[in-house]
Amino acid sequence: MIKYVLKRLLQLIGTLFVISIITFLMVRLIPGDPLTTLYGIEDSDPAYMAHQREVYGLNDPLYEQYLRYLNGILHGDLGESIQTHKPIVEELANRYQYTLLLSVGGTLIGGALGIIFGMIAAVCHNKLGDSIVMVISMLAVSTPTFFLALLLQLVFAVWLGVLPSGGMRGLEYAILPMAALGLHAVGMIARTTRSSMLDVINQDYIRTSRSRGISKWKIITSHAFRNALIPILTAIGLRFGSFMAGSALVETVFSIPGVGRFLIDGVGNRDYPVIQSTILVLAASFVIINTLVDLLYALVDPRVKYE
Amino acid sequence: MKKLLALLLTAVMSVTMLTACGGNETASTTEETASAAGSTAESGAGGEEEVAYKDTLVLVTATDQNYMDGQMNNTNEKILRMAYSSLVRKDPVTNETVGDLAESWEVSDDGLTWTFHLRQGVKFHNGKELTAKDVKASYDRLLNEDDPVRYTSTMNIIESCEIVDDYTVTLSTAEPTAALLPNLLHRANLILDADYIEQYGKELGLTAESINGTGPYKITTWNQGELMVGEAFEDYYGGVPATKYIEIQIMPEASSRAIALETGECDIADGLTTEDIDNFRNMEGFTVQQFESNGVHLYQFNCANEYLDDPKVRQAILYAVDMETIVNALYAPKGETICDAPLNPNVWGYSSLGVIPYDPEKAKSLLAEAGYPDGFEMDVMIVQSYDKALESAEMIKAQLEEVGITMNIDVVETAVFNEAFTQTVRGGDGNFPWAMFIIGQGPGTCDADGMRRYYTTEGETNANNYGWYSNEEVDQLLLDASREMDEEKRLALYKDVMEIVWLEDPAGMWMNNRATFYCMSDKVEDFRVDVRNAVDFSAVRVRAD
Repeated sequence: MIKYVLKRLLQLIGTLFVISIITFLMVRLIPGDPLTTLYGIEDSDPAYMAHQREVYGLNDPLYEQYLRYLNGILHGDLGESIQTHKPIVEELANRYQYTLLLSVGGTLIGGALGIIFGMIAAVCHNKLGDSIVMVISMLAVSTPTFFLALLLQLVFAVWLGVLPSGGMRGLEYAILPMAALGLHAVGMIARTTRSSMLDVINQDYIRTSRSRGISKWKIITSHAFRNALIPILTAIGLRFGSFMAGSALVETVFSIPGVGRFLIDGVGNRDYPVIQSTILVLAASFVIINTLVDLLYALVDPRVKYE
Repeated sequence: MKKLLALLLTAVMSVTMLTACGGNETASTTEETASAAGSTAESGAGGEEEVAYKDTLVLVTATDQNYMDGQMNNTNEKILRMAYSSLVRKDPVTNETVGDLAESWEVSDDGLTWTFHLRQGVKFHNGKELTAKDVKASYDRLLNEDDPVRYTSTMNIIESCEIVDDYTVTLSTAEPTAALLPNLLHRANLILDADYIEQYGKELGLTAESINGTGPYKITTWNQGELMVGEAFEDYYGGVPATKYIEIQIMPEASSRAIALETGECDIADGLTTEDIDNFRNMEGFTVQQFESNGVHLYQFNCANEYLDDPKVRQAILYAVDMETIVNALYAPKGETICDAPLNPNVWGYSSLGVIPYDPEKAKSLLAEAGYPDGFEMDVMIVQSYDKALESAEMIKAQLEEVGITMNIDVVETAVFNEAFTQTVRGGDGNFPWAMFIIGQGPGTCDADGMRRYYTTEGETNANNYGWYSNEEVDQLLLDASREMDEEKRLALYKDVMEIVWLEDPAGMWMNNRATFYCMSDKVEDFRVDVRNAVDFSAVRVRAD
């Protein structure tokens, strides 16, 4: 087990190294430049721009810029935002908590509802309940998150007036964004649960248990579900990872200063250090979450062993 | 089947319960906030009616300031004057240039030295008194070419700042500069604390602690990208501000800002879409305030383009486009007007030249004279951040088609748009394939002298001449005007310049005079914005009823 974790950690370092090179080059390939974007066109001042270009080392050869960046990372320094002049480590630390909160909440909502819906569908296979749940999950999957977010805002903030429409100053501010993320995930998780459950339900041992007179409900919850859990866990883990990286739209609609919005602003501003470092941190989060999910498999299924 | 129904019912009920719990929680929190916020009561004018005002005003806007330091800030003017003052300012009501930290001023006979007499007893937020030393330290930092700030070369018309006594300073210029006072309106002239300059260097204005100004509000909290809180500065020289706390909340999404206003989470929303502005105009409990600005919207010509280097072709384009129809369709509903000169009427030096008539026949004959009877094909660059950019481009495209000009619309991102202009006056390899591009103009000085930035051929003054515009007569007239201390004569010179760039040797196709719109609760009183879009927070207040 420990050996396995160490191996995954080594892989993580390799992955991050490759990602750092790719993002470093990609941000410099997209048209636009951090200083012209930052200083705008209205009042820009050529002398000052040239001076700033020197300050940020944007005139140095690429490999020098990369080595400087790498050296910084190894010393725990993710660089400074060209836009806000603040250390990126500080900015990310502030924003990470919001994104983490939304992702955990979204995953819980999506996971719970998804599993319930998926089980209902599997139990009522090819009956009315199945069709209803599948139509709902189809709707959830195909509704764009930002649209869902706006819809929730309209209903709960404007019409009912029970929840705040945006900002992040308390837990009640997180409910709508979590719901927007979670509801979107419900569809996929429900579908995975359904197909995985159906696989298991049709196995011989289930039929045997049934013939032994054990109630259908007990078989579903204690025998079938446990064995169907691995694909479901994978689906939930992937969702969680993509929430961490992809909650930008929800963060924008609900005015939450999270990591996703930081990255989107960074891209819009061509803020090279911000884009590079944020992608690196998000990639690391994604890999770590997936490793944790892999370790969970062993807990769920004793046959899975990591040597 | 029964079991299924029971299961479904349980699921529905649990969802409902979850939502209901959430609802209750919020309701009680909101109540708490409302009672905690409290309110201040004030006697009405007659002393009979008590009008209560809220002690916190919330304004939502799209972007945060990058620096709360006018010399470095490149976001906008809006918020800076909440914390800072300068020697002179634009009065938001009369649009006159009036004294701010300076009580009076005079210029020497040779027009080279301006003496400013400072107001006495002005306090910084930390309690220190403002003296000539702070003014000099601010200008020394601004004008230091060895360690430039963002606006060092923008303000290089000023040579130096000297102290005469504690309450008197002089600003010297190399040449007589008729537009010196308007130039001092620029945010780079906001006065900083000499001690803070020394202590914080370029870090000044990056955190709430490093901000120390003489403006009406002291910044107590600043979480960049999220929230800024200003607390009324009791010793503000202009009197105690009317509202105790101003909260600036950052909401990047326009529809979220509209929702926040509708639900009462904020009092004032900035930068809403034309559609939302229209909604709030007709919604009970809300009002839309329109403020004049110094800006215009135009399609600028690239005079180095193989077709547009001929003024006849540019004139043909102007006659071929029915600008009145375009502005009526796109901008008039919001409340903006059509341009009748290259300058906004709020810029000193403006005179009306009349709208160019729509005359496609004349356009065709001008094209034939220029040698393009069958028209030509050109690329036009737009960026969506300009209001109704794509809509206007499509209308222009359709009209140019009528006279044989094929226009390809190139929609680019802001980052690409900004970088494109580094290929023009500021060097680069001249790789600028567009014949026209959308742009906003508006001299920050609110003075026609600003036209030097757009139209002069050479020198440091032409920083915004992106269209390779060059006309010897314009160069000379603008230079003469900048040195002309007689206002009547200066006005006449600017009129000559405008006539040339408007139609004779046109520099662009002007569209609309821009205005600024704020949507707000109808309980907001005395919210004022000057033509440079700087908000004057000193008097604003919200009724609590």
